[in-house]
Amino acid sequence: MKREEYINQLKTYLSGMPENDMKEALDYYTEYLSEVPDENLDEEIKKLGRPEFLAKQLKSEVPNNTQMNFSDKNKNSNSALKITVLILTSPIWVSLLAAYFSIYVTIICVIFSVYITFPAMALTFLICAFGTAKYSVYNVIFCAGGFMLTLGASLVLFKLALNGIVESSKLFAKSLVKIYRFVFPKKN
Amino acid sequence: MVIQINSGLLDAIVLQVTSKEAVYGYKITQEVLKTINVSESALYPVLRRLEKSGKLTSFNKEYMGRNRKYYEITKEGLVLLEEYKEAWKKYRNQIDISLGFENESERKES
Repeated sequence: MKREEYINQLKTYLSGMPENDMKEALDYYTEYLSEVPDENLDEEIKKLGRPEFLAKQLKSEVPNNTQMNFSDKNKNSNSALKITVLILTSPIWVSLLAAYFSIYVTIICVIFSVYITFPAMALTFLICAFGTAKYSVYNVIFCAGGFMLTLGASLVLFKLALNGIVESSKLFAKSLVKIYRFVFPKKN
Repeated sequence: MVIQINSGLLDAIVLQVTSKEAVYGYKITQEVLKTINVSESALYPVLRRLEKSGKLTSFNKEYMGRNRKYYEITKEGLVLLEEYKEAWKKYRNQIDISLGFENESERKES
């Protein structure tokens, strides 16, 4: 590999590094390689290592990164503290969570049971129509009408009920995620 | 058999090399590698750190159409170098003793 090629690759892999630091590092290694006699170039480049790995090394030496390391350490002890508190207070929040979940289940059940009355009524009308067909024409007409009404209603309401269940599930899930994020914020 | 070198010793050696005269990066690397077997890429962070902490100073000088950055030790650097040398003497003696070279180290002292 030629000098220029190595430095160009190094530059690519160094991207993300603060500009000043990157320039200093590139200047140093450009100068370094220019001092190497041509006959030793390949060997020297091998000794420096692949530009990708050298870049990784250089990135981790930059002082700014030590600051990052410090807050990472902080983050770990922060999480550890939070987890400890969570475990200690678990009887409280676990039962709260269970109550919250049962509210959600109740809502689903209410939606479902309201909806199910219509198909149930439709079925009843149908049975009634067939059952009384023998002795009352009026009954059949009435029941047939009832059947069609309630069938239509259940078809219309089906989409509503489904939407209702889906939306409340989404809301429930999102609220759970929000609570989790509040306790364990995402690091940007 | 290779014994690992820690960064303190590497700093000391770099300080020593730059205390005699101003030297440029490639040459420092060659000098250091005569003594200890570190990787060529180990020198840049050391030079940078010593310069940023005021133990080394640098200046640019042209040579045969290309630019060379020369590093030179500062007064602060000389103080640190002396401290490293003292610490090394003590450390060396202690290791010698614990490895059973008691007589040799006494001879070294004189």
